[in-house]
Amino acid sequence: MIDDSMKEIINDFVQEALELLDSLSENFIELEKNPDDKELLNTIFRAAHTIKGSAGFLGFQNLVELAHSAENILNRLRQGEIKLTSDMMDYLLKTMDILTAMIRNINDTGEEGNFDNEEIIRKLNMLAADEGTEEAAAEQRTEEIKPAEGNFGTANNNISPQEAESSESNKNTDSNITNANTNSKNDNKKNTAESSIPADGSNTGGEKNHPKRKVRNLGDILLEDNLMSPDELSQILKEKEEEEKTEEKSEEKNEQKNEQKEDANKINNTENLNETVKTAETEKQTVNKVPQAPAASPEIKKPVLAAVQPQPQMQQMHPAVTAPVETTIRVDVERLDNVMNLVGELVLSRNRIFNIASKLELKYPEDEFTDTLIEVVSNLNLITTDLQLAVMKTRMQPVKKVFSKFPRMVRDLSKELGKEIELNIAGEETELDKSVIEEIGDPLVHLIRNSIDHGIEMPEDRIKAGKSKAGTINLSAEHEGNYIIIEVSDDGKGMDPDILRKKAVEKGLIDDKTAASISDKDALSLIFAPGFSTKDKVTEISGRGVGMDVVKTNIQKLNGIIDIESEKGKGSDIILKLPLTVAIIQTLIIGVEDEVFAIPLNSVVETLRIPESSIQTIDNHEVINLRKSVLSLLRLSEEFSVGASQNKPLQSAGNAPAADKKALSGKEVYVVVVALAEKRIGIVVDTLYGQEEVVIKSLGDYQFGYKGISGATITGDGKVVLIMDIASMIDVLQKR
Amino acid sequence: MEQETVKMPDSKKADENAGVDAIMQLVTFTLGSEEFALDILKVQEINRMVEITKVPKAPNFVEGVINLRGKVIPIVDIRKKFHLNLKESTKDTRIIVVNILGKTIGLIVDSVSEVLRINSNTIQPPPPLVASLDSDYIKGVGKLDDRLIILLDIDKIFTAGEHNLIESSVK
Repeated sequence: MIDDSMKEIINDFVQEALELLDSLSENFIELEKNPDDKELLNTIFRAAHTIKGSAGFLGFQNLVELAHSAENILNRLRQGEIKLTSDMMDYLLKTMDILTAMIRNINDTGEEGNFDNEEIIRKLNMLAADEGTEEAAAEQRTEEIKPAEGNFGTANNNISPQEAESSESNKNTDSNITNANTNSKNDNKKNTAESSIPADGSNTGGEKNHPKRKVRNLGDILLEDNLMSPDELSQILKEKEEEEKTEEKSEEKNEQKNEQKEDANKINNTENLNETVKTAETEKQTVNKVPQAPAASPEIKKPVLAAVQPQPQMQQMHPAVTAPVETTIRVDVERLDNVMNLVGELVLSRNRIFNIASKLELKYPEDEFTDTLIEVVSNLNLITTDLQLAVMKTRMQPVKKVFSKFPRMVRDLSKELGKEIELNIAGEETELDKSVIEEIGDPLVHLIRNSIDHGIEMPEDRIKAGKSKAGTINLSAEHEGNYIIIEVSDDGKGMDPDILRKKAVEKGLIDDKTAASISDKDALSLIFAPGFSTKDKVTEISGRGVGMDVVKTNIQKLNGIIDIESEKGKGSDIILKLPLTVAIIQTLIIGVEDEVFAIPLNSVVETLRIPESSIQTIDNHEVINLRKSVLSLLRLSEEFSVGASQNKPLQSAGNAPAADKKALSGKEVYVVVVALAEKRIGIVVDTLYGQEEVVIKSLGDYQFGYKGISGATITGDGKVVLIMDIASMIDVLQKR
Repeated sequence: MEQETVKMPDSKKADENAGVDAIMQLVTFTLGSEEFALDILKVQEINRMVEITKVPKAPNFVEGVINLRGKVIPIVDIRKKFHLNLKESTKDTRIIVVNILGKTIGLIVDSVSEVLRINSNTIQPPPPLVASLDSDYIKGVGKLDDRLIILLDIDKIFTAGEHNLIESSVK
């Protein structure tokens, strides 16, 4: 039944609706704080309405009903008829959840699914009807007084200016080819707004607006959205009324014709067009006076403007196309990835040309062609760098996409736990790569849950500790060079390294000896161990010791670094340092014997040059003392068994460094200090060549059974350089 | 033979109808003094020797990886695979890039001689006591004038275990 084009439309709808719902839940939380914010209410209302409208057009009746009930409440809130209560908010949020679930279901199956919404709709209607019967009646009266009602063409996501029975509106709705409901619409002209909900049996017959369905009149909308002053409106309405009377007869003719041949509407209406163009024009002008119109974001098309356009050629198109403010397009991520790969290749070629050019410059200094070549190459260099940046930007998304779900989460959880928590979000406009965005959601959820559950104390405890009653969680994002720093901090009770040590021993994660020897900072890192939890009881929110493990795994996947700071009694601060993108990375090129390797620069903390003699051995492990903290060392030449050590039997590898050390005791070595998630180790290398920006080439199928290499890249001279996998290097060291 | 040149030889058909008259196109190469051949349809390209990046802890017969126009592919020294004496690369040394079971792999050979068109009926099954080589990946021996060409079945050249080594053992 659902063909491809329909699928595409549904897909678009799902995408749009999910985005709207996302922003909705955020807006709701905001609204709870500022219940009198009219602008916000309007934004929410419009979003809800857009969803309802699109759903109605696609025939998702259940969805429409639910959205409609929610919209009723919103409308009354907006008009200041009822006050927002916490109870109401709960139901509205719940409605959002159900809507999201339904839309997800549509996405998966193409069907609405069997959601039993009766209960919530009843509740919503009750809330909406609350203390509102009188007003409802009044509303009904006003509707009757105004014979020239506007029409609300939800079906097209579009306010059709069916200024009463003007042929303008007739044309507008009917010529929308996508509208499958033209017939009933014409029948129901007097029934105005209802007509746009397809297949609604109650629509037939020319009865007046059903009082229970609070669909807004165009006039109301124009007023509410400040598009028109009441004076202007009544002026226009008066004009309309007169016009309408004269048109009544020709109208009826039209209707009959329409029933026979819907598509021919445009022709039928041309005679009427001239009469009404003037009115439409006036209206258009009025509307245009307020250019900000109703659209809160480009996602929400400006319905009024789109619909009032009198040009016939516009109306032949789908309303989404005619929407004047379409500034975004949706592009398949795969296509972007493709462009990204091509740019990657281009960067490689540029590097090679650059290399050749600099060699030529050395070989033929003062040569005219060499000079020109250098000039061209540096220009190419600039362009590719810009191109690379531009392509990368297409994949960038504001971190808001992830952050926006947290206010809701904090609200729900703190309510559940009886805590008072304020969430401050900063830097949500910070942009980072889509792939990174996708990975950081889960870790942040766990970090914030942790702060709520473990960090922030109960209100009474906070007062006892001399803190304010409400706890604060700060969530911030900011750029730092090629990285993004995401910080989750709270002013809760902080972490006690001693308790962490004790728990870790209890859980058998470390032994007593290790517990005693690790520093306070390392003790804090214990929270990332799988299975670690300070809770004795597993609750719904935490206690299984999984969360922090998820944080660590995801951050590791992104080559990110985790830093924890915590002061007992004052709160904790968890800092995530993540690369902006994953496809093109900065690397440190190092040499071991004759081989060259690349280390992702975002894992590199610092490089040191130390004498061999400062390397100590603890428990057969080589370590150095770096600013009072013990750093384990990994000799890359041994790990990769390149060069001379290749022929040594494995079991003697342990003794080898000792022998080497004696021979080389006067020599200095380079140590690259690398970090991943919360761990730090030093890698001993022979040479440091410098930094290079490289494009990661997957080794794909060819891993040779070794995890120490995460990929390869092609350097300026066309050579393949292998990129080291820091995670497995750290693993290697830990297993020893 | 002339009248058959119009038809493009189909190696698969040749495989199935071994013994029936069919023309096969083979790429021949040398390892030491012996001449080998591969079905031309398995060969993607033939390149000069380039610098090979060693891969730590790779299996012994894997020489390393090279950059093939932006793609990183593994290189196998076929001498090592056949347990022949190792030899320094010369100006004749070539890398034959082949597709083995959907994977692109480069093979180092001493030199590439020519592309041969031979009638499949001149290819005989390998003699039971053929040389020092494991006969599983020897499809047959082609006789051409006084030359003997060993036809390799490239898909069988690596054992399952070796395939696993080359492939990801991680995923």
